[in-house]
Amino acid sequence: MAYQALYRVWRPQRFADIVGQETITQTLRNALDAHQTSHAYLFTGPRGTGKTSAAKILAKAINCPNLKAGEPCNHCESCRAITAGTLNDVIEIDAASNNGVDEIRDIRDKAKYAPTSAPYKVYIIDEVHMLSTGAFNALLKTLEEPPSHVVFILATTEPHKVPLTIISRTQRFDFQRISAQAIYSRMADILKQKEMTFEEPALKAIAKAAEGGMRDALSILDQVLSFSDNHVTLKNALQVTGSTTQQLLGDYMQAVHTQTTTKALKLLQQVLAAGKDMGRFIEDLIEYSRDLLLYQQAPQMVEQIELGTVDGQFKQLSQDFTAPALYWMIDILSDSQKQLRFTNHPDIYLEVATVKLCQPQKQQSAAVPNVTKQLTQLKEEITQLKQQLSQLQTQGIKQPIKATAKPKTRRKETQHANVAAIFPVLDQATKASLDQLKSVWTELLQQLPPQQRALMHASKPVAASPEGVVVSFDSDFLLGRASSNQAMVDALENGLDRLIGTAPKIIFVPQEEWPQVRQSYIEQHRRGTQKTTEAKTKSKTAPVISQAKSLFGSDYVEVKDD
Amino acid sequence: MKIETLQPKLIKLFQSVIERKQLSQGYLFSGPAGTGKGELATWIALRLFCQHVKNGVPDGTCRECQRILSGNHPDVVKIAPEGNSLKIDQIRYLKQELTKSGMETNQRVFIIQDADKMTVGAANGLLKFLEEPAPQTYLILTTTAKGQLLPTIISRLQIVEFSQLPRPQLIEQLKAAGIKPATAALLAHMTNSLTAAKEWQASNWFVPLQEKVWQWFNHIQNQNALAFIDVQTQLSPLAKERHVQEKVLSLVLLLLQDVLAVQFGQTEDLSFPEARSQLSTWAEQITTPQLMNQLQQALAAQKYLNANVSFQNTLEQLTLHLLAKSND
Repeated sequence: MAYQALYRVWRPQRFADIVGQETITQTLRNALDAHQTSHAYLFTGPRGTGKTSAAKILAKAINCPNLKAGEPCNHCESCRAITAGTLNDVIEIDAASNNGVDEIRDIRDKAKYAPTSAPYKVYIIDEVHMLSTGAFNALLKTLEEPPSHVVFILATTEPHKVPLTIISRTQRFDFQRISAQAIYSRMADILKQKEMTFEEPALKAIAKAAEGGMRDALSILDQVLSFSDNHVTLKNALQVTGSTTQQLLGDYMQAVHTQTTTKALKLLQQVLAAGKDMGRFIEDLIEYSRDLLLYQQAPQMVEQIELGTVDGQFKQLSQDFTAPALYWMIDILSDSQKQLRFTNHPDIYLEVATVKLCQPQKQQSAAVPNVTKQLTQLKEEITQLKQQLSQLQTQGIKQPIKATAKPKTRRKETQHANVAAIFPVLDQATKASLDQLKSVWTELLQQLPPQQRALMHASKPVAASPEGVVVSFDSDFLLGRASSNQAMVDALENGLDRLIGTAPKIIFVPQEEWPQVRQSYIEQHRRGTQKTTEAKTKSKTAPVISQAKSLFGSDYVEVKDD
Repeated sequence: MKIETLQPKLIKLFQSVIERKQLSQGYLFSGPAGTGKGELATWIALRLFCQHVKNGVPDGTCRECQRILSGNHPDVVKIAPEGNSLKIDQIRYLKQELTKSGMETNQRVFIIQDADKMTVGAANGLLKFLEEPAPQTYLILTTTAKGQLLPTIISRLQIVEFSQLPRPQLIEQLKAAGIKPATAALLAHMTNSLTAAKEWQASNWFVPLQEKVWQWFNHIQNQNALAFIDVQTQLSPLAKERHVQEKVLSLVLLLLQDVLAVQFGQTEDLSFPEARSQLSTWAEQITTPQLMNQLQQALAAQKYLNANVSFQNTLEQLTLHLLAKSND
């Protein structure tokens, strides 16, 4: 006997075995008990929820002479024959391959004849959505008033393709997706009966990956079992389902939260290199974000969905993210997911999505406060202008002369590096903030008006700390122009506020002087540390000296500083 | 490359599965091109039919093996799409064959290549066979795009994911096969198959194409409108065949991907490692949102090409979009 897939071996044989569809099985059992079965049923629902199984059990129950509480006995001749698929009066038809009018006519003709051995003739028409329009219409009359010994059971995953005239002639049962909890306990049951051991998280991972389809779950379980000898491990389960670990997802979300694009991209590379299915990864990410969102509102619900696997990192993240941020993320992810189906470059889509996720959300949180801020600024400016205007009207025009005189003196001042301002920045400067700044620098310049942009083109950031930025200029002339242009410096600082969330102070330095400034800073820094160490050693030796003095008397002790 | 070296883990897995007689009746082999899906399917057929199996390995020289390898075995049926889809005639033939028992032995192996190319009708027709196949009938479907298969098909099969050869390893192999290091990195990004890489390298279009695309991209990044003219004068004449046209867009995407990688300081896995300085100047010139935009345009262009928009139109539109996007 060849190996049979688990889902075939463990196909339910009684209504009680069908998991997760209690309302439907109860209704059918009551109908059977009361002998009120209809002549036509339509079973619809997603894959692997028990439609075909229910149809087969119903066929058995209708024909079983020893019906008990609506359950077939599974021992009598007809039950066994139906299980083996050999009873002539239960006819299973694959509508996908027999979808023409001719096949339906054949059914219609043969339905007239009485059953040979069982009390009822049962037609199970599977995948009924594939029937052609002509075939559906040919079936209509027979379906409305079949001979009293005929029962039709139609099953399909796509009820919207079945004409309404067919649906209205049948009793329709919608099978639901099976909950992860139910799948989990069913698998645990099967493994116990097969006397195999398992790791709990492994079954949980499978139950989640099955997405409500029992057959999916058992197919995956089958495959995991063939990987390993009678023991189900989490490692194998993850390998088969192509899922990523909760840990990695958490790290990725952490990177997204802190907006460290490089790290997020590195994690993505890891996933790619491990040969994981990209669709699966994005699905996992969406689920993770969904869970974060749910956890903010209803923690118990997440514990239920995730079957109790909520770790500390998850809890932390659920506090870190705001709800709008999560909506936005899910939008981006599901957008990429849609595109992913039609491409052979899934990695690029994911990289684009990752970079997008790691960008600060301008349109979301920043937008509203920014507008109000700008509004108040504008109001202030208007009042200032009004004041100036009234001043001008009273005093006449003598300011312009002053204004032209000023820049000249200023330019001379600013041509040299402002060492006092630079050193504090250098104290706190980090490579990370410089990188961050460099990544937004071009974008920042794009936001300036063309004139200012042209001025700033000759510049580049050379050092940065959270509080300040040092920007070097190619030419002294431009430097002078730039630093005298207070409006532009303000615009730059505002732009930085928008792009990276902080508004560091901007300090200009000529490019020729920058190496000297840095050098002198390093020297001073070194001297500074030396001084402190010297001071430390001195204070350390002091107790020794005082002890020596107390031992030998101060006259005999000579302190030599080497 | 032999399948034993390409996918040693999977071979081992199937050896033990067949040994324990746990071979399932339906498998879906999913993974990128050139990862040995078809080869593994053939290997399983050899393993099942070979009369001199030693330590779980078929000898490959006996009569049965020879017939399978030459495609003449009556009980090993291979179906591959002719053109763009698996034709209805092929599926009809397949269905007929599925209901018959083996000619010479009791077991039969069916291999359906590129199963995602099946029409909806054909796929639905297979559902019932897949759910309860006749005893000792083994169906192996291979696909490069698992997402395009019906979910009802996938749920009836055991899915085997084929992972790519780690890229550094592939590059080493390409180098060993006498391909220049610079080109090796690029080829490794474009294909997983050593034979395909060699073929492209030897072809008359690959090297000039690389140069022309590079020139075009340079014009784009410098916002030089000459890029538009390049499409007609340089690129279109070279890319007359469909598969070459696809390569053009792949090259563009890889270039953009590299610029993105350089922008975020990830320089280990570039397609154009020798042009790093050029890439970093481009990366400095462009803002991240602009780059994202360019990538999305390029991806969209690929979609148009798949939807049978003419190549020149697609690329010209892409060029205009890229130029416009860098201007504002």
